[in-house]
Amino acid sequence: MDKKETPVIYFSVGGSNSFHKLELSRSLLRFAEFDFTYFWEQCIETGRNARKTGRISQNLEAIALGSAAKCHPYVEACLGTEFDGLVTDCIIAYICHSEGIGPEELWGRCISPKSLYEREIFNRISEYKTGRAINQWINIVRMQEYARSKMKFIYETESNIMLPPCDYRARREYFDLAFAVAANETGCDMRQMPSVKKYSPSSLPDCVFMMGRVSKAIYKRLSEVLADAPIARDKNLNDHNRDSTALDAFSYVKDMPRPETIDMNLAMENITALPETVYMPDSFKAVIDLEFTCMYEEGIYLSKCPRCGRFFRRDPEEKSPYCNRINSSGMTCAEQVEEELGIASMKYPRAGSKAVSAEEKASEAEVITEESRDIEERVTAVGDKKENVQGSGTESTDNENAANAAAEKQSDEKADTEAVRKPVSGSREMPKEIEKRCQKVYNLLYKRIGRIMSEEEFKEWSKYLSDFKRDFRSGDAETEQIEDFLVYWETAVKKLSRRSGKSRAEKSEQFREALRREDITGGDIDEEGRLTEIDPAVRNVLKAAAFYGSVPDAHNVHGDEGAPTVNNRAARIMADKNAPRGQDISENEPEQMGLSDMFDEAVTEVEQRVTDNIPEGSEISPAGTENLPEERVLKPFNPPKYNTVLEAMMDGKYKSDELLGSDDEEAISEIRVNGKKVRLPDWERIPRE
Amino acid sequence: MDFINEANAINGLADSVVKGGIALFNGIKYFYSIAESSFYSVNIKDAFKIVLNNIYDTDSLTALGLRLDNETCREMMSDEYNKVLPLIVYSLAVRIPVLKNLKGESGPMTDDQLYKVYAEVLSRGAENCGDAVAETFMEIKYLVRKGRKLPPYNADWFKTYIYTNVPALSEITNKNMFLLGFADVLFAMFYSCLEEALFEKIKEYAVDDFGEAVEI
Repeated sequence: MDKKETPVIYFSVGGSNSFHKLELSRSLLRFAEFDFTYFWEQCIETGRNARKTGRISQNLEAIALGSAAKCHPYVEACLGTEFDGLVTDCIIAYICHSEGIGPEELWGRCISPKSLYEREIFNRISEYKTGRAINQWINIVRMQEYARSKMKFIYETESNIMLPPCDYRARREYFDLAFAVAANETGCDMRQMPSVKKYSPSSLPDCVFMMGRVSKAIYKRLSEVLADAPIARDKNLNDHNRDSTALDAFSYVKDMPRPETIDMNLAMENITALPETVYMPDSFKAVIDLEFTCMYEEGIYLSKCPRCGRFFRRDPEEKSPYCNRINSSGMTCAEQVEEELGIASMKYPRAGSKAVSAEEKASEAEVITEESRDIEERVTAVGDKKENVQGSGTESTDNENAANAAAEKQSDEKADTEAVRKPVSGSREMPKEIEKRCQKVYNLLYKRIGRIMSEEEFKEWSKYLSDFKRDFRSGDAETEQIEDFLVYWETAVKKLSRRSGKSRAEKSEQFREALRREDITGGDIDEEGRLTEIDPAVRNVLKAAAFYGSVPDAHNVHGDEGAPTVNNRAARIMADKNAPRGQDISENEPEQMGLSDMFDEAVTEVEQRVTDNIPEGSEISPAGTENLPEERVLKPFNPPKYNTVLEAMMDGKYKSDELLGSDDEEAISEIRVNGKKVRLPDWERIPRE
Repeated sequence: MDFINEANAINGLADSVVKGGIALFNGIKYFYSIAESSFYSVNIKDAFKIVLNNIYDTDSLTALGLRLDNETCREMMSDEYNKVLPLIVYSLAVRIPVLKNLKGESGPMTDDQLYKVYAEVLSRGAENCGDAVAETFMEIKYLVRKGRKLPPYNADWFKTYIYTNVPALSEITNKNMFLLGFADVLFAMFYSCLEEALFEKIKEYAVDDFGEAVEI
């Protein structure tokens, strides 16, 4: 089945010789959101009319049934059987509800019916009483609630992220199991609960009538043999005699030769026109459950639009959590969000109209995987021999060269990225090169979990990366900022791979602790971890650096060891931001030589690139540290919860920049959202080993 | 008692008795069919409610999913059992003197009027086949005139008849035991309701205003 099209399954119901189509996810969504108001009003109108005329108008009933049939294919399929009395059911429910009586009392009132209308009600309630029917109107309403509950249980996620398929499966199974437990504990026999049987068309109970033409042709061939066959009318089939009875029937066809080609072609023409698999549900709930199951098997997942609160089919690759359904405003939620954000260029691809084909994505993923594997191998080689290097004082080794080679490779790719750096008008898709680099850095760090950063830190970092991606897509971040971020981490990884140690980690922790404290007014930490005076501009930069999750060399905040660090780099960029155009960066700050030439080069390169790209009159700062525009509406920051690091990687929900104040501000502890004070979370970092 | 149209009243009352008899006859069959396959799905109380509220028409019992055919009432599909119908009508006809208990401004129904109704019912096919019904019109008339308490209408004659004349129903089977059980209750309750219905019929046909009717 084509993935872009809605997958379809076929089902059949008892009492019907037709196959019915069930469009996966579409049927479910339609049913869950179906508005029965029109049907309800039609039923009330039919009831009023019947009260006057003494009989239920068939026309009005047909209109009402027609409106209800649209809610689900199963209802449509069973309109002549199971849901035949749907209008009467609705009238009964209405009378009982409006008069505050039960069906039993209404039955008593109609026990001596004086009109066809009363007799209809009496007969219908009698069917309830004898277990031959239920109030299908109430059943539909309850079934809608069931479908909604199950949908919510399975597909509603925190932060509207897409979960791995196994999670959805686990949720679905858990829900069904909970139902089974409840049913079991309340004395219901699970074997009698709603179920679905799977058939091929020729094994359906009514296949002889469903495939009439072929059946007739077969009968003609077997008529002589079957002419004298005894009719077993009173055979009571049970578990013990099914086989023998079936083989008795088989005995009449066991010598049947294959038909002539022309007959076989006729049969083939008829048979191939039918679906290969036909489900036979025994109830409405069974169909709902079947749809959930088949959706999972087909890789169809739903998500809740954070804007309109409605579920919609969301491709796993789809980044936007907003639905593409046109609402009353004439726009989709995604478009409305774009409009509200003022991003004219951002266009979320509509579901089912992806710009990149599945093949392209597959090949891209393959390339990324291969490259990542290559880098990981090199990095692993570095990591494996790292212990030998540590303590030797040698800062440049073959292993590092291997890692550097990877970085150089990335730098080469970065040059290629320049061509696609500027966002194409009308599109804010992340350039593939950047995506690849993100993946590489991610892999580099992932390989080093437990060595240079803890798993928690890694999760936090991956969240920042997701923020960046999200910001880029929403137009709040530029390519340069992402590259800046990536280069920073590429170099930091290399550096951190060489340097580790408990004392350093402790100092870093002290540093972060100091940054977290809201009463910091200008203090910094010296080499011994003591708070010292710090330049306000630099302090904001440090906040940014701390926000980005790593201060690899805390005691080098002032560069007093002479080594350029992340924070030095950030300070440089900040200083450069205020520097006159064209002025050499190195002239604005003391020259700092230090631990790694490679690191210096990388930093310088980034700084230079950032400086070169600063337009006149604009203020560009390291990603996430730019001043907030006054008119910008701040949103509360709720740290998302991820089950896996992959989710964190794939997701990009929260704007890191919203949490950052302007350079002149004190440390922000509260922000205002729609006039309400929202307290920012205290960032608590887990010290590295 | 003065009727608007006496002949019409007599015919109407006789018609009601016959219809009641037919309803009881069919009701028995419907009840019997419950034992076939609806024993656990049909509440017999509901069946009673339907029969007693529709004294002349038992078709409403089909709403409970009951049906009369060879499958459900196979044992009752015999000529011998079909004689139960005239017997039932006869058993009801002999109790017509009870209608004398309704007294209007012009008095109760006269003996002549009561006999005419009785004769009309007999003319419509009521018959005491094999003298199965022990009660007679004259006995009941006597008891009513004396103001004595009438014996309750029961299914004794019915059971006696089927024991002796309908072998298929006299076998000890689940269904037949069920028949004997519900018949006692059904006969008594049905007659009580039929009597009420006949009183209502008399009020319809009578000249007297029964706004404040007095039952003796």
